[in-house]
Amino acid sequence: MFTLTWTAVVLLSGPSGTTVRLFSLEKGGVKWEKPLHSTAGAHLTTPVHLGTDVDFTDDGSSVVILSDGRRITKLAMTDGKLEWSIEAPGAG
Amino acid sequence: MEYRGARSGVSPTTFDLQECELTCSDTVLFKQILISAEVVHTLALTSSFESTTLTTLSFDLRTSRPLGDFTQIPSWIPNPSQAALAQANGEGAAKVVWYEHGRIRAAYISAAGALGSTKDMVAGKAKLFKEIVNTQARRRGLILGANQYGGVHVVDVNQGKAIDEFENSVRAASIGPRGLC
Repeated sequence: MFTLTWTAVVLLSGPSGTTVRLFSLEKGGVKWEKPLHSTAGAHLTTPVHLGTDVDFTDDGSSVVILSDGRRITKLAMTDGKLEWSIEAPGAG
Repeated sequence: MEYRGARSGVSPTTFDLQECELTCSDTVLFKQILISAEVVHTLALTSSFESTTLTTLSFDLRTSRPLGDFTQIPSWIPNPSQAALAQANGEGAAKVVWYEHGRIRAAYISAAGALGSTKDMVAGKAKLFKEIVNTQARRRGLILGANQYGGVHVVDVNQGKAIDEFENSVRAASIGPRGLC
């Protein structure tokens, strides 16, 4: 799954979005990469993109990511630094 | 719903930048998120033995603090793709839009995460639609409703009416700098 902004492409990969990568839209290179959850514990869904989503703050400073159908993570757009992460164990 | 921090002794009011957990008794799969001002709205599918319904939960964007409890939306979802979160008028608000029995329905979610009114989109045209199509246009309050004849309506969820209509090519519709294209 990928999501486009004016300056970058956010790519979720792996089962239920285990890894997020941010690519520069201008140069195409990877600016940062972060694991969101473990591959071994990922919940597989049908269709495969169910339980993953990406949105951006209005000022473009952060990205909020839904992965594994249960984990919501907020990361800084500049370097991928974790701002917060929460999980709903009732999901499955 | 029980709320607790992942680390023992963490108060729910002082968990900034710390990993937390939400627990609930139902089988819930979070499907979508939508940022509206300083609120993160989430849309979840709640599955029971007989049916799937919609649930929302909203968070403070800055702190991740939940704004209230899970909110159940009176709904029946035949397919997970037939529900979406859309931008709504009002600071921090959102709308949940879903397909049900040939109609497109919408429920208002306030900035506090509370459920508001629920009503049909495109009133007076019952069973007009075959499905809704999720596109990034939902982040601007627009969703696409396909009818059984191949036509596609662009529905403004805040006005509650179709603002445009075109034939086929539904998969190619997207929002660009100059609007819907």
